[in-house]
Amino acid sequence: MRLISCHIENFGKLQNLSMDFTQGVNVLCQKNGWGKSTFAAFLRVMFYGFRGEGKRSGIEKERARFKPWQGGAYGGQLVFEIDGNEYLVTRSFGNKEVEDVFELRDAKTNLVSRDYSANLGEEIFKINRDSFLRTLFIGQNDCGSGTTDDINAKIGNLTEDTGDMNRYEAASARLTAVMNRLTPKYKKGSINQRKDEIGIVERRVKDGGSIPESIAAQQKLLADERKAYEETKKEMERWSHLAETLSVWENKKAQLGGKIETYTFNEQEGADYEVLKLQFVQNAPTDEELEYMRRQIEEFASAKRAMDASRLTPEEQERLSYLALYFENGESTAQDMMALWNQREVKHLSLPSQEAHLTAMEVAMEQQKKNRSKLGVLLVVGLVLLLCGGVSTLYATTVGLAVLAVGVILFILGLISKAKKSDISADETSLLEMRQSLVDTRAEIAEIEQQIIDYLYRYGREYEADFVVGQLQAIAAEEMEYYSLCKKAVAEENAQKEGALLKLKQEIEGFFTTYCREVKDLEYLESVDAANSYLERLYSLRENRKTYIDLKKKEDDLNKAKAELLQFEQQQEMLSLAQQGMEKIPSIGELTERTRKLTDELETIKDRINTYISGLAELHEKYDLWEADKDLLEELKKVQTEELSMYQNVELAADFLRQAKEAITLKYTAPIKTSFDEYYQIVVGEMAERFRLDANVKMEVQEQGQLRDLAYLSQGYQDLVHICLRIALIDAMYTDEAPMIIMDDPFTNLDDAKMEMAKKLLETVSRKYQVVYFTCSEYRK
Amino acid sequence: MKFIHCADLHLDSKLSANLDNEKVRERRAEILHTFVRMVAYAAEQDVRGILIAGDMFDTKNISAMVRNTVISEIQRHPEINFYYLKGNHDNDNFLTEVETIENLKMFGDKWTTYTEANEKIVISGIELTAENSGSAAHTYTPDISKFNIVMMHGQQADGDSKHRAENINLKAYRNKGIDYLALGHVHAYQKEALDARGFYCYPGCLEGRGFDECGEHGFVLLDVDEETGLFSHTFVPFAHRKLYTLEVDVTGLGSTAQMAARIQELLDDRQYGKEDMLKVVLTGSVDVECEKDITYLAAMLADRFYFAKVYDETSISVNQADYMLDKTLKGEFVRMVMAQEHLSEEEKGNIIRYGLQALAGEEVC
Repeated sequence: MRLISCHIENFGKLQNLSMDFTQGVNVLCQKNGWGKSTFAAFLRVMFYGFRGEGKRSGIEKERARFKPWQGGAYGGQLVFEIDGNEYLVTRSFGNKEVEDVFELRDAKTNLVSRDYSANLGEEIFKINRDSFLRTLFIGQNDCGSGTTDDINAKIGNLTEDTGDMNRYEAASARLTAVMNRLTPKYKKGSINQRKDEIGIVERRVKDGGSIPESIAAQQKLLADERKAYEETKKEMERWSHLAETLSVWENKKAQLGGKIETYTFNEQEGADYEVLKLQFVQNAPTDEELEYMRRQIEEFASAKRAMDASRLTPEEQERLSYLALYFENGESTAQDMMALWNQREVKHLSLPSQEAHLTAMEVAMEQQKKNRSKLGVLLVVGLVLLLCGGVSTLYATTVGLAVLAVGVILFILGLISKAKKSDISADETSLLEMRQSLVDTRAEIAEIEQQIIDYLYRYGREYEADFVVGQLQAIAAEEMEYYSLCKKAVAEENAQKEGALLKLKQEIEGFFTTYCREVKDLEYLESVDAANSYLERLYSLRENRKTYIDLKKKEDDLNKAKAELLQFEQQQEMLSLAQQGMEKIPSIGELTERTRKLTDELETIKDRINTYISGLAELHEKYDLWEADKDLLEELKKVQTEELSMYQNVELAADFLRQAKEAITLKYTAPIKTSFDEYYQIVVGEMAERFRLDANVKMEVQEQGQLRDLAYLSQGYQDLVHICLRIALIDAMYTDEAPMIIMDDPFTNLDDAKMEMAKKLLETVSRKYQVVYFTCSEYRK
Repeated sequence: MKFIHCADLHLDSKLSANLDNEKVRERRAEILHTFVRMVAYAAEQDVRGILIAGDMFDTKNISAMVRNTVISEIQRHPEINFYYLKGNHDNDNFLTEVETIENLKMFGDKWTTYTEANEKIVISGIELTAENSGSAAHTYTPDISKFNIVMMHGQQADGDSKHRAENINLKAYRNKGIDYLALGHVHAYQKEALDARGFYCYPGCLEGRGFDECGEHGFVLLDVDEETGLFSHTFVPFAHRKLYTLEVDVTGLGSTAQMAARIQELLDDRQYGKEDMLKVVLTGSVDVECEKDITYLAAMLADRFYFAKVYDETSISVNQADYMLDKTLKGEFVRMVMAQEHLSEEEKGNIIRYGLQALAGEEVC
């Protein structure tokens, strides 16, 4: 590849400038300010376009920097040859890249060529602009050497494959960025930062290691306090129960005391009881026995009475003899006589009324005849008599009845007479009948009186009308007396009754001897009166017995109550003492005091429990935080482990990637070094043994026993070495077709001796490459 | 007579492993509400007792709202006895006051016994500690004529463990006359024969909280005939949400899009609800140059479920033959890494993945 010619329309200060190039060295020697660097830049821009398109600064932004000072069309033309083909490239530049115009023509046919694009430099030289500036374009004060990915790729001839050598730096930078982000070596590295965080959390976890023990201790204290609370509560309940029990005891004792008081004898009862106890010392008769004895006494009295009654006294004997005179021959008819006498009385009593009636009838007959109106008198009289008869009946039966009968008759007669007032003849008949009836009645009365007189006489009595009834009753009584005496006189019955009576007597007296000490005070049971006295004493005994039983029961109740109280006290006290584990029953005061203390104690324990609960809550909160810290620590360590692993692997990846690149570059560093040695020997005239080239195509020099950077050399020497290395790189990069080399006065730092060496180098290089050399010095020309 | 056997409610659980703060609050409220719903269910079904076999709470420090809600529910249902046996997560300080609640029956580190149905049903329980776990079985002497329910919280095992208080040696409880061993601690439902007479049962947790508690969760409903001693046993699914873990084998897939399609394909075969929680685990082996964006896959699922996350458990496979003749930097790099004998295959895979991601200009992750 070689440049043939160029024409600058306008580019910086240069305008309408044309130049032809030849093989070998093309020297353009102009004084300073002519525009040599602008010219060199024009050639570069024709291949690669402007640098610094994204910059704002005029110096850095080449488009602005090289904008024609004089105005006019901005750009030019360049004719070059490659692979036997000649091309004319024309570029005109606008204010922006998009306004640029690129045109490529075949220089022979003048036809537009598509063989290359606007990215002409990279397509021809297979390197980017930066690589171009590091190799084929040697600028003023910019002789430094070194490779780029493109250079390496070009050197390694790898561009045709994948071109990944040119990605090495980006890949390395990417890996480095990851390592820098992760690095444990610097503060900003996440691993380092996490290491600090882990340290802090680890310390917290370590510090919190005692929390479980603290919780356990606190829980034990809490459990102890809860236990104490329960025990105190039980103690409290025990004492409350004891208080309740004591209260019940007191009530029970008061109840029993009341009973004892009730059952205690008063003075009189005590005295009575002492007496009665003597009386009933052995036993007290039962109610049945007493009742039985009562019946026995009554039977005795009855039997005694009968016995006594069954014996005739002399008076009775005399009387019996007397009465026998009258009644011995049969029964009297005193009762019959009484009835007969009553008939006589009725009849006798009816006489006055009959007589009055008769008289009245007679008068009435007379009156009837005169004044019938007087007939009513009968009725009135009859009515009066009825009333009188009724009243009299209440006081004197016979008379009353007679008056009543008369009244009735009169009344009836009156009615009859009235009814038959018109029949005077009938009345007269009745009057006659009436007079006859009166006669008959008087005859009957006389007959009865005679019978009575006879009767009375037979029993030694005289008749007197007013005393007939009494006489008859006396006869009846005497008759009864006669028969009674007759009965009493029968002797056989009395013997049997006496035996039974004696038995009764002994039984009764035995009973009283048993139950009644004062029986001796009693008369012997010989009479009914004595029996009555025994009966009275029995009643008294019954009363005493009842009193005794009552008092005995009271005494029993008293003893029972006392025993109950004693037993209750003993039992309860023993039981309670046993239950409570106490030696003695506390007083109510002691109970109250104890209960108060226990209440205070419960409150105190409760406060302590709440304090422990609060403490535990805090500890639990710390525990949770501690647990969270442990989780966090685990997570941090996990992430740390992962990141460390990643860091190590990324570091290894970067290292292996570097080694891979070096392995590749190592393959061409040897030819580069050989080439460098040749150029160095030509220029310096000595072997380049003290120079070493590493796999990164970095040259170092052996100085004072160790490899040093080229910066250790003088600037002129450095420039020479770098230029030699550049040429060696170009040799390695372009083994097939040699490109042109543009030198923009690179030897300004060389002294005369070294300039001579540079000239030698230029001469040597020009044999192989077309060189466009710009200088302002005739000496360096 | 009916009983509910539940356990491991873990009320007031942190739940921060998966969820953000807002969802943590929401989920805590849901779990608490599930407990409230269970109590309402018990009241509706004339349940006599609720057996809570440990871990009703998750943290030592119970929030006031949770404590108040639980106590309120217990007090609101005096007709139900709450048999609460504390587990290893539970607070010893649930009741802050000294006074007790009449229908809250609690247990201690010694056998505590309650009776139901005129003493025909006996409920015994003991909270296991390092001191009593070895001797607990020996000190339990039930009346075999009763229907015996025993409550404990711990891991069933076939032998004693001196170091693990929560271990329950089932052998020691066999042939003792237990009808129903109501256990807690294991978060999945499990019911097995204890001996010829009885059963042991873990009801599992009431509501799944993390992806180690996937599937159906709820409680057990027991219906005991106190005259015959026969009982029915029903697991009642009751959780508000279900959690699922979906393993997706992405072996051989080369891109995120292909993996998304594979996930979708598997989801189409399942009846997961929008209210459920899903964890997708990518498994299998993918090529080192496979393009895989976990964040995108998680975002794709986020709108379809209450919560979704994607775990990458794939291994990286490197086919050395692919790079054997590759003269590029990548080929040289892969060959160089694969030649390192001191590195594990996983390390090699990761190193290669990082290097290739860097060379490809992708995010290194």
